[in-house]
Amino acid sequence: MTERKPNLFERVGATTFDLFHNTFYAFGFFWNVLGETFRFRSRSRVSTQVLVMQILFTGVNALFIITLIAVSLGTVIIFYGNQITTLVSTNFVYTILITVITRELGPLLTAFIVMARSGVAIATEISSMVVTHEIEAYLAVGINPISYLVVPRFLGVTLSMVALNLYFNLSGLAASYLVAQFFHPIPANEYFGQLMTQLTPTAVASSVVKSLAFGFVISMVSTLNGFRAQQSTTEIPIIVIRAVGQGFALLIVVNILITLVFPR
Amino acid sequence: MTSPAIELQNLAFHTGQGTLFADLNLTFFTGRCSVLMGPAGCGKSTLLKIAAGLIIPTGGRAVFEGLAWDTAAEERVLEARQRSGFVFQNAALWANKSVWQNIELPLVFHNPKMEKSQVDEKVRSAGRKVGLREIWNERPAHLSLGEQKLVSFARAIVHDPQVLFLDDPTAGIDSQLKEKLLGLIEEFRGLGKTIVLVTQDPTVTARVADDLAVMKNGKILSQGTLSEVARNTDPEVIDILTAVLSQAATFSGDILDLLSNGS
Repeated sequence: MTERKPNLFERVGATTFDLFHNTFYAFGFFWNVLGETFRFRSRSRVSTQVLVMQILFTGVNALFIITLIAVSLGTVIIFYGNQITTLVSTNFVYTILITVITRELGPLLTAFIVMARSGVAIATEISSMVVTHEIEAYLAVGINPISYLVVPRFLGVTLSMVALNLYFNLSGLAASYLVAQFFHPIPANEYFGQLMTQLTPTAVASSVVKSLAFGFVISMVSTLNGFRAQQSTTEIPIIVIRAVGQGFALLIVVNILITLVFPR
Repeated sequence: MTSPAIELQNLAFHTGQGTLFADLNLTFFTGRCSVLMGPAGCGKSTLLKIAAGLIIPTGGRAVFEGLAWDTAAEERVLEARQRSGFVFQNAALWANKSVWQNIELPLVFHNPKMEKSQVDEKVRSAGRKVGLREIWNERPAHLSLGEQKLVSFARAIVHDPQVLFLDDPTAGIDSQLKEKLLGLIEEFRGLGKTIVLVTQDPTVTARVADDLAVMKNGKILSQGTLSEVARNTDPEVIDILTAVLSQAATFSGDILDLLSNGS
């Protein structure tokens, strides 16, 4: 006897139910992670070792690629900005630098790099651990996987995001100054002084809030998807692809929302 | 009969593919070695993990030393887990940690103030007990399945648990290592620890079981002491037990008597 295929209404109903179920599950997961984060200090020193390793991988090991992209972005802005400012006003290039590097592309590009490196690594690692029953082994010895695996990754990715965003800003703005010397030599104190006049508290707050929010999104999306693996290694690439897709989409949405909250 | 260590009450477990078991009741007693036998895929390992609180059932409850896994406060669950150890069928060692770190982690996580010398001594002692050779810095991927099971055993006993859960401990290992593991289980049994063991291997059952439960298609066909189960006249139980009892001849004359009296 062949099994009856569900009709359109049943499929829509099942998809809607799954969507609600997954959303509630995700909120429960975030709540659990936040609760365990507040208890992190009272936990064992071994969790701190995991945190240090995560900062090393997400933050320190990403410095080269961050430098490369920040310098490229700073160079491109000053190259085109130099042409535009001749038509508009001299100060306009500083506005562009702060808007693009500090407020918008700095945090977003840093987040994309962290998602592509650390998000993928975390989703792969956690899903492999589920499939090989390593997560159950943590439970069996009384170690809460949220506390031992997720919280250090959440803190490590978020702290690294803030630090990398700051580093991206410094590298991009310094690179733009060096490139500017080829087109329109300008004293360092004048260049950075002009930048500081454009660097409003709102711009700084927007950049910091974005890097914090992006760190949260990357760590949550990658760990949550990692835990969705069940029993087969063939699920792992599917989970990783889903995590990356969701991660990039959420980063873009969150970026837009924060930009709207912090107007110029 | 001693007091119940673990009680499984009206258990149900449904997956996306169907019902693994429903309305299942089973008790494991303190200080006894309880063996759960049955054909592959009948739900033994899932049942063991529910008993150990690693999986929450979709219905019913699992009570461990008076504590219901699904409703107890996290701190009490944590305490209960420190009174038990679990050896997984595939060893389930943490791949990114060395053998030493695998055995050490439960100790250092729960006892952050324990002296390093004390931790070292406990790890070495657990390694010695299971007969582990000096492979402390190796990663699990470099070990044979047998060695991985020994490390998993050492990890499960490093904190001196009162209850030990063993998921098919002798599957996929050579006879020499199997003998070693059986010796370890007997040693623990001799110490009065509670052991809950899942196996398909009649040799293991014949040698270490005090109590036996026979499971098939998600149902407990028979449960009780080994001698009680041996008297069961259900043809399905007899099928499964025949293998056990023929193996038992090697270990105990009493079991052979039971076979002739019971069947």
